[in-house]
Amino acid sequence: MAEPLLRVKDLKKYFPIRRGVLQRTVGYVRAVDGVSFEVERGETLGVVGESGCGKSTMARSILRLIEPTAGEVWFEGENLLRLSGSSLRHMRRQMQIVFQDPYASLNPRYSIGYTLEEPMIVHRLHTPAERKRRVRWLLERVGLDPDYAKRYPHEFSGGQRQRIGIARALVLQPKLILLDEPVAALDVSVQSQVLNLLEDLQDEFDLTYIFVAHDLSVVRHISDRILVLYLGRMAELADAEVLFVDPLHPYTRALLSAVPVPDPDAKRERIILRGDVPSPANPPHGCPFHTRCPVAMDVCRSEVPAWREVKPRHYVACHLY
Amino acid sequence: MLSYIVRRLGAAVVVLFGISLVTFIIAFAVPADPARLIVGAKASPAIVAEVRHQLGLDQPLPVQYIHYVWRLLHGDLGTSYVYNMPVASLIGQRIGGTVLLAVACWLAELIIGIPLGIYTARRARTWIDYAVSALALVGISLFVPWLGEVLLYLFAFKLPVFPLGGTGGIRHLILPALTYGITGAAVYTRLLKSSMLEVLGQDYVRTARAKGASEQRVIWRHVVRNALIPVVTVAGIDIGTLLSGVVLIEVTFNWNGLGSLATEAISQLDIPVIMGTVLFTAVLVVLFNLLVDILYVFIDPRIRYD
Amino acid sequence: MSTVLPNGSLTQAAERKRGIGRALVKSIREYPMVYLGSFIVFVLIVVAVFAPWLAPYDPTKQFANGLTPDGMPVAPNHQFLLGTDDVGRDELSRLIYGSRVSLEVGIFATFISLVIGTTLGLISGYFGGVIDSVIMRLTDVVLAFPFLLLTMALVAVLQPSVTNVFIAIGVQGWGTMARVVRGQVLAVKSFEYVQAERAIGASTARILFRVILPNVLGPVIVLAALSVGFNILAEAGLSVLGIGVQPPTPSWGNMVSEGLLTYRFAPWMMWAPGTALLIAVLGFNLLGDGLRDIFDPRTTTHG
Ligand SMILES: Nc1ncnc2c1ncn2[C@@H]1O[C@H](COP(=O)(O)OP(=O)(O)OP(=O)(O)O)[C@@H](O)[C@H]1O
Ligand code: SF4
Ligand SMILES: [Mg+2]
Repeated sequence: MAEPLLRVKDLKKYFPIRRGVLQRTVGYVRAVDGVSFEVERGETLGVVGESGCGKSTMARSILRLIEPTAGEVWFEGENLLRLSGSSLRHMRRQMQIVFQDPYASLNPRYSIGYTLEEPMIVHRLHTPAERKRRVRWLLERVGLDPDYAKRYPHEFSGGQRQRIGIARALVLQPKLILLDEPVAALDVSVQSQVLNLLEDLQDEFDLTYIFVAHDLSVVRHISDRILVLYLGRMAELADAEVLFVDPLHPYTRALLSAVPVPDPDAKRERIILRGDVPSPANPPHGCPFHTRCPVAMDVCRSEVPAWREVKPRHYVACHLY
Repeated sequence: MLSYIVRRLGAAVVVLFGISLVTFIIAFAVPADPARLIVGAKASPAIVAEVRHQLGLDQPLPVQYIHYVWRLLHGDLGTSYVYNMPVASLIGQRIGGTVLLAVACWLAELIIGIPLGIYTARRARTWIDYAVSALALVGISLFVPWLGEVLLYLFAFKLPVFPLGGTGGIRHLILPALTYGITGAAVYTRLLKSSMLEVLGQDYVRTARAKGASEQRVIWRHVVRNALIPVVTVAGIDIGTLLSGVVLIEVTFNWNGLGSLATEAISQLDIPVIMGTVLFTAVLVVLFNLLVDILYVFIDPRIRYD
Repeated sequence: MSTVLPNGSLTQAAERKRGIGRALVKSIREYPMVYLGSFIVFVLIVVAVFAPWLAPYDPTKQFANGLTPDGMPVAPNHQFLLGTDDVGRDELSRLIYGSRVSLEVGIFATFISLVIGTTLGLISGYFGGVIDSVIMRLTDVVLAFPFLLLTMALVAVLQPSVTNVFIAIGVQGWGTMARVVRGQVLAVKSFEYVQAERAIGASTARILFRVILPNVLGPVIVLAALSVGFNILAEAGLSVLGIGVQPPTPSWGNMVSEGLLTYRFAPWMMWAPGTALLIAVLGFNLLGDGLRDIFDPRTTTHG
């Protein structure tokens, strides 16, 4: 089997908690705690989990926008975590990110044109005239008026800004784009437009996506496979159709029961999650989900469930299987 | 909270260490040859070498620095080249005058600044507010010795109400304190005004008003008390500015204190005395700031310690 | 307040399209303090630059008729508009030339503080960790010294001269700037668009200077203006302590200092330099305070 485009192995990001006189580290927020997966060329991997479960941290660690604590990130046979300085910057051309907050992710001082041109300037690509031409073309491609290049971010709506963010991710013609909840901040009516745009772009540019979201309905149609995270750990990974039809992990089931069903008459048992997400600074022993799991057993409180392939291409971490 | 206090203490120690390093570098590393300064230009090289040895100046700089800190820890600030007496005792002789003057100046600043701040906060955006703001700006732009000179000219010379400078009691203190008060009050006026405006917008003030407390009571019980917190901090932290100002006041009014000691030392290039006073005042500032930081913990319930 | 959005920077971006000139004129109309301050500073610069053409006489020339028969300074008259000093030099000429020392020291010392403070503040805020702790402790040390006393010590060992005076003042004045810049950097650093810069492969230097620096410029300009005023006063203070710029170079500080000895019989020697100092410092303070209102509307003193 061919080498996958991206292979993440045992990725961890612990944020130190400092206290006391010498600001000694007294503990860690385990935002991402041992995540491993592979992404094949051209596929879309959906990553789902509640707010605060470490999705953004994971995405940023993969790109080394923040330094991961441990793990490996292999991209086309190179371990990104080993790269430094200019070789890392060079690698960045291949993998881009679209941020969660379209209001915070554009520099208010830069015109849209400059925001889109800058990646090419940084990597010394093309002549100025050619760069300008590409900017206009890209704006058009993401559904915006090319003349917007002269304008500034505050003149745009959230949806338009997110299109600009997407255009920025495309400038360097990357192979992989991490989409960190790209539509979460947008109105529902705008969400589907942006999702459609992302799908069109994927076909047109042979893109591979990691699509992060906090609810399953958003990733359902766009994803080939879906990874469910809970408290920085992996709960379940399966092909998208399989996950929706045959969810195994109790957490996935709970998430699924919250997804609105198109047919109002269709009856489905609604599982309400009890309690709040525990703090990642002090995760529960054993299965991280046992404090809220409706079917928790004794073993769940003491032993961490192993990550196993319980059916072909269907992985889960739960003592039930 | 204890941890906060210990952390402040630790930071203060680091700062004190830094201060000793800076004064050491200025005093020992920069001037060409302190030994030569002591024995004079005409002394023979042998004598210079002898003095160098006595002073430990022939040892490597790090060793000298350790000795320097060791002596400082024992309260030894060196010996004046001019008076041939310990710098510490010279400072001891003059410190009283400076403390007296500094306290007077500080009180004047508060007495002028705080009422104006309270007054203008209650009349924000009226012409009085603008007039006081303009005056405050003029106040901070005034050159302290010049204002002192003008006050001396007007109230000691033209209208001989106060003495023409010199060290002494209340009568001698009024003009210097007034000088400093006028130039320094603006800081407090502005600070108190903005912090009162902030407190006035707070929920508990609205609650107090809603409960029908009288306006006077609201202002004094709730607003002024809370608004004074930042003022206390600044009053404590500003001691460095106060000391610099007092030095100028001492010279202007011919007042006997540390400032005039240092100025005399400078004209005689009496390096140990110069550095001794600088070090002493810097340490004073650090200790004072530390005190304020710790007091702050008890005054302001809102502060978080980690 | 209509042109100022919560973030002052946005204004500039918004206005750029409509022409910087018109936006500027508008904001100046709205902020008379800036207008008045700039005017004073402008006049001051003109006087300093064109001193040789503006001054009626050589400021160091001792006139035979500059002293009364019994050796006293001459009161203002039609020849010596501001009178003469105790050795018979023309006060007006000395006043005009004296602006040079004040401006030179005020501006150069501020420039030194600005470079040190901004650089250390940027580094401290951006890199954090141990570097940050070290720089912040260093700042504490610098801020702990009573300014005038340390300057006095520095100038005493360096020998008094215009250059040494502004160096001594400048190397101490950066503490506040470093703190303010650091705070600003910490705020800006967490913005997603800074991470976006890293994502496109921008170098650290590019991020620091092109993305973060413009965001700290506003407060820095305010501090710089206020600092020039402060430094002018510091230089004058050193003169009063006898270690400022050495005679016969005319400086306002020295002239005030001479006034201390002569106010009883020649009060004009006291009025002129003190008023000049007041106007000059007021000019920079007006400018700084006014700009603060523009950059940070929260602390505004206007309606
Ligand atoms: N810089 C940081 N320092 C300390 N803790 C952090 C930091 N960044 C994130 N965290 C913590 O790590 C955990 C994961 O945060 P993250 O932003 O990755 O969650 P998320 O899944 O993206 O949530 P959301 O859906 O709200 O975006 C949270 O508990 C958060 O508080
Ligand atoms: S391991 Fe136990 S607690 Fe965890 S999800 Fe499975 S059943 Fe629930
Ligand atoms: Mg997130």
